[in-house]
Amino acid sequence: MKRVLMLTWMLVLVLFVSGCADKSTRHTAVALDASLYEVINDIHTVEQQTLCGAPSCDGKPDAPAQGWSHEKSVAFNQKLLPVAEAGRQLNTRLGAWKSGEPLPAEVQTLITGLGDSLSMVVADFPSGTSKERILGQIAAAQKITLSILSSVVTITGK
Amino acid sequence: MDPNTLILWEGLITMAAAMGVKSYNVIKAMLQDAGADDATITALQPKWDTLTNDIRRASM
Repeated sequence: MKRVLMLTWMLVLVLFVSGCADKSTRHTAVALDASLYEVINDIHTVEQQTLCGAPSCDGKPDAPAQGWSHEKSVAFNQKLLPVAEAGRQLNTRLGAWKSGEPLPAEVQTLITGLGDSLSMVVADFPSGTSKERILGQIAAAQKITLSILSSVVTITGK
Repeated sequence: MDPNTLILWEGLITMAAAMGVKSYNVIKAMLQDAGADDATITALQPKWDTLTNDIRRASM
């Protein structure tokens, strides 16, 4: 009788703790997803300001800073696009992931993809303050991605 | 009922009461957090859409 009661309480405790872990993972992922948006938005804004002096060059004439050009901007944004697309998809998947459910495989795949895509963004930017700021933002974005992965690995034990 | 069984039951009832209060508070906090998370995700979606579209435009 005592053993059955103790085992029952232990089972309740394990289920309780595992439920909190899933919740914590989602909460962490959502918080970091919001940070990731800010970082990528900042990267894009700085690049566009370098091209035309505005946060978005949509409909504005090019006035590139020294060492930058329309072609370089296009190439840079072609590398940045998969990162932003992965971030957008991650947000959609997080919306479908309900608290208490296991980590969806798509979320883990997207997070891994974000890390890979970010490493391709680092290139071809002119030297100077903007480049240093961009590199700083990319490093921050990579750190965020690693933080998500770290929390996932810690909680799921993979 | 022998004294040991009585102590066990007292312990279990105390534990159940403590867990009940803790569970209520944790579940309440979880529901509040879940609401905040969902609101954050909803607010971020149009921002991600706009950002992705602008980067796509800039990449062409």
